[in-house]
Amino acid sequence: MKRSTRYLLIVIAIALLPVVAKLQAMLDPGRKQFQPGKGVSSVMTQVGNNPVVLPSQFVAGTVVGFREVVAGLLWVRVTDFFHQGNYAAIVPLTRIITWLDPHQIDVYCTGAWHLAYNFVDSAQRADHRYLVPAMKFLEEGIKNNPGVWDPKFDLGFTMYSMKAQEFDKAVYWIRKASQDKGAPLRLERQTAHNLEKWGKIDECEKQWLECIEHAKAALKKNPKDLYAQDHLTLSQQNLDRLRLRRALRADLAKRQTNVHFEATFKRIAPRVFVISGKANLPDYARISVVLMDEDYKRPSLKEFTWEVDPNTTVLWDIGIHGIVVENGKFERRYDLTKDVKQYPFKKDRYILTLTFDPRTAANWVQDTTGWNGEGITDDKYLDTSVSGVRRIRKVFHLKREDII
Amino acid sequence: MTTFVIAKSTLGEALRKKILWIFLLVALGMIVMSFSFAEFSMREELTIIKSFGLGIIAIAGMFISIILSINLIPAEIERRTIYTILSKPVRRHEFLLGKFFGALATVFVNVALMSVIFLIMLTWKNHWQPDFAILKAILMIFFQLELLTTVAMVFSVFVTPVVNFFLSSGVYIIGSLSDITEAMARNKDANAFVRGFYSVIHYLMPNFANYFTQNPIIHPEAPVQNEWAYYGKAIAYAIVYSSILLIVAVVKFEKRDM
Repeated sequence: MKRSTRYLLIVIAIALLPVVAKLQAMLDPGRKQFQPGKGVSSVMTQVGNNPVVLPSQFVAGTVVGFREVVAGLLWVRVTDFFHQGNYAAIVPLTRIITWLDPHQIDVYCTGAWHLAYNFVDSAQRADHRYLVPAMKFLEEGIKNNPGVWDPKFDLGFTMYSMKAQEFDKAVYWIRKASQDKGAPLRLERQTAHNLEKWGKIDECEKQWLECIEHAKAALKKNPKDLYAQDHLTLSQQNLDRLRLRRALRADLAKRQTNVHFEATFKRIAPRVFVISGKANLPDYARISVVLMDEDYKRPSLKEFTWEVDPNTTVLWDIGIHGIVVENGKFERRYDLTKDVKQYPFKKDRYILTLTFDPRTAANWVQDTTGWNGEGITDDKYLDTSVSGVRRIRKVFHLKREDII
Repeated sequence: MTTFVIAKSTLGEALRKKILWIFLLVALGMIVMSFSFAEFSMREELTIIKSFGLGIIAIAGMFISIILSINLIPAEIERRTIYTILSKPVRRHEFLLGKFFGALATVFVNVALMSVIFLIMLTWKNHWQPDFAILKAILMIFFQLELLTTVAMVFSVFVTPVVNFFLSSGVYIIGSLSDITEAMARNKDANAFVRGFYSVIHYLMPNFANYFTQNPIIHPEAPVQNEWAYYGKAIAYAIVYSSILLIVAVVKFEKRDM
């Protein structure tokens, strides 16, 4: 090769270097959307007081760009922990997985479910303090995956409907989920069910009609669509039932039942107490029990953390976990002696609230009480603080020594 | 024409090497094994299978590229066959480019074999609905390996295979740390020297992280803007960078005493 050719080649190579640098500068902004996860340094330093030491091969894999592979391997490990019942190990791992790969939707949903349901006391009662972290985790999942319905549905149904029983928010999120591309038709039915629970009967009827309309439209496109056929049948049945119930419950306000609610709180031993009482309600109506620090307010988290305040006490037995009424009586013994960590009782004052909320009652109970309690009244404990809802509610103000 | 003949012979020779087949078989075995995860929901299962499959293709491809490329020139010198070849009307740069394209063809064949098996298995798992989107990720993996092959090839002109193995692996790891190098290059709190150092690494060293594009392919729900524009730039980057490296290799190889 001639010297001049060699020099020319060297000049070309040098001239191409700025081209490479320019191409790299052009690639950098786009690269983020292909590699949305956080780097390993963030993962290792931001796990808070619950550090999780990743095996070295995982760290190496993460460093050299195989984040999704590491995330997948960790997810496999999570299922092992799940089968061992080691839920405490699962949550930090789900945190790391979603850091490495924030599009792991099922990890968000499963992690939130673990938080909300699987940290339990000796009576299998979930630790309510984890509800906010669970919600926050799902909110993060929604933020990172805005077009995907699953985390929105889980936030609406699992958290707001089942756990917190805030039906307005449940409807909001389930409706949002049902509007996402690829969302199953059943979410529309879930919206209707939640509207009924919320006591919005006219809106609920509209929703069922909308479901029927959508099912028919889907069947017009594809008459063999089994999901649409199901959607049509179930929506029609539910609409018929709703209209029948509305007719049967139309005059409940004129023939109200006096609940004659009575309730007592009795301490048996330190951390052991009995809640009992009478309620003129149909069998299997349920009385919700909430015992919490007097100054308890649901924390608002800026970002997800699974750490909860160890000094907070919240016992949350609501909805289907409430005390059953049978033959006009109800009673439950609470033994919290083995659950000091979940119920520390560090504060001086507590509020115990017993509630009968007709909105969460079974259908046959609602046939007496009405959807929003229009069929009930009480001499002492009728509570109308929630607009349009008549609940029965008794509040006890307790001191620490009343419980401990 | 000479370059093509050398490339063809390099491909044939490389495909006879047992070590490459071992890598390929291990990789294929691992791809098949990744289909044994049965405890997950359909979407989770496909997510894990896709991430594993693409990861295995990338890792196996990396080892195949490095091990193949570090030996191409030194082996010819050690066996003295290079003297026979160069005594014929073959120019040095034709020999070098022939070796490079032969190595690249070998990498292509290996990646293609793994990809075909992976795609068939994935299609089977996905109720016979093929997911051709993964080919985009495989295309990017191939161009990453093309860049790596060139790096190892250039080093093979300067250093021994053992040194080359560690050198190429090191460059690959550093080139995969874009998040860190980019952040440090833009870190206003760092002094000018540190920023300059990381800028050189980030903008002038081969950046392999540009080719980790599997995430939105594993998660089709994740929106990506200007996807093909990005792929186009990444491919252009690989071609331009490889051209620079090949020029360096040719210039050095031309001057080498043999």
